[in-house]
Parts: sequence; structure tokens; C-alpha cells
Amino acid sequence: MASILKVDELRGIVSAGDITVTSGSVTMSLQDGVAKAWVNFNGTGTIAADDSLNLSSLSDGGTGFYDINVTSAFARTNHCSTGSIIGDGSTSNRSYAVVASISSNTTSKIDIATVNANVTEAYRDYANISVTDFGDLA
Amino acid sequence: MPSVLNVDTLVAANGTDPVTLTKQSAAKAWANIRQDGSSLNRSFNCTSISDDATGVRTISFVNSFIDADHAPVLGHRPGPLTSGSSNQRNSHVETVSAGNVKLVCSYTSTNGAIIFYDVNHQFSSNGDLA
Repeated sequence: MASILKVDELRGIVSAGDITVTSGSVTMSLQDGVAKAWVNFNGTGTIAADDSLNLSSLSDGGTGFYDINVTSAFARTNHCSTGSIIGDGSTSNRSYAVVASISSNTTSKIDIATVNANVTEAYRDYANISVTDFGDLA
Repeated sequence: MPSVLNVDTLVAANGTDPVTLTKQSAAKAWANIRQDGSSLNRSFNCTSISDDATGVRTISFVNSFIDADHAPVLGHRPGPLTSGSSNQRNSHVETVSAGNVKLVCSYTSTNGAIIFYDVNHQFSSNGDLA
């Protein structure tokens, strides 16, 4: 029978933010692999998050442009952001997300843009946008 | 009162297998890569970068995945050009192995040629390590 440890919070002993876990034959940092912020949001109309972690607010910077503001800031500006879009099913609106598009990321903000990848390649709002971010928090 | 466990390493009860985290898992590698492809700005479980060509770079892992079926995702900046421009940059994962991923950024020029372009790639990958 599998053993289960029930606990609300884990802290490292040597350093409160340093716990290692095993994966295969490797022991590695748990905290480094945990996403520090993520959001799935509707970027059309009045933009709104469907689900999120460490999200303070969303800002609409115009068609296809969004700022994702985090509650707990990152330690550095070069955190690691990835994103994707679920398209609207139209073959003429195939699209892609670009993370940190116009202005650079800050420690408390992730910039993204969404682009319609058809021949016009114009910015476009999409209804299902996902972004995940890794890095150390301040 | 919330319970707090102070511990340095978590491992399954048999002493070797990974411990299961309820309804969550951790990424096994991520990196924020310099735009010129010369080095890694910040990274986790990435040992080196090979600047293969303009817009093409290979990132090798310190600890390899169990196979090539891990799940890399990415973003990049700078992002799109002026809206409606015909040469928007787009990134994708070109090849995946247990030990590395090759990332590419390119755009299609107005004459239809594929132009490779250096960007600040950012990627992460989930899966089991070997």
C-alpha cells in the first residue's frame, strides 16, 4: 500500500526554498521546476482569466496585445515565459502567440502578443490564451 | 493550524522512486536564451547551448529525459513586426531527443524565401527523466 504524507506546506531545512526530489535516477530541485505563474484567459472583449496562478491582473494593450501582471514578482527580468493559443477553428485564422512582444518583460509583468498567421499576419484577439512562466521569485 | 514539514529531499517510500505530488508536477527543464544564441540567461537542467546557425540553436540537458517524448513548449521575443507585415517571425521546436532540443525562429519574406532570425527563445519541457 502506498504511503501518503499529508501536509499543508513543505520547507527546506538548510534553506526554506530548497527541496530536492527524485526523477528517474536524478535528484533535482523541486522549486526550480515548479511554474511560478500561469494563466489561461479569454483575450476577446473584456479580457478575463479562466484560471491562473500568481496572477494580479490582466491588461488589454489593444488588439492582440496583453500584459500579465503577477502578484509575487520574479527576482529577475529574464524569467522564462512560454505561451500558446487555441485557434478559433478557422483555417484563415491560424495563429501563434509571442511572449514578450513589444516592451520587455519586467519582474512583475509578462508581455505577450497574439498574431493571426494567415497571409495578412495581423494582430488578433483570441478567446483561449495560455501562458506559463518559470524562474525564481523575489 | 496548517502543518509544516521541514525536509531537504522528498523520495518515495522505497527510497529510490519519485514521490508523487497530488494533481501537480514540475517541469524538468527550462531556459531563457540570449537573443544571439551565445549563452543561457537563466536555466534549469540545461547544460549548454549550441549556436548552430542564425535563428537555430540546440540546448542540451544536464540530466536527460527518459526518451524523446517529453513536451517542450516555447515563446520568443522580440515579437511580431508591424501588424499586417508579411514577414512575422515564428518559432518552433525542430527536433527533440532525450538529451536536447533544437529551436528555430524564421519568417517568410515577401518573395517567399524562409529567413532565419535570432530571437530570445524561452522554452520549458515536462516529462520523466531517465
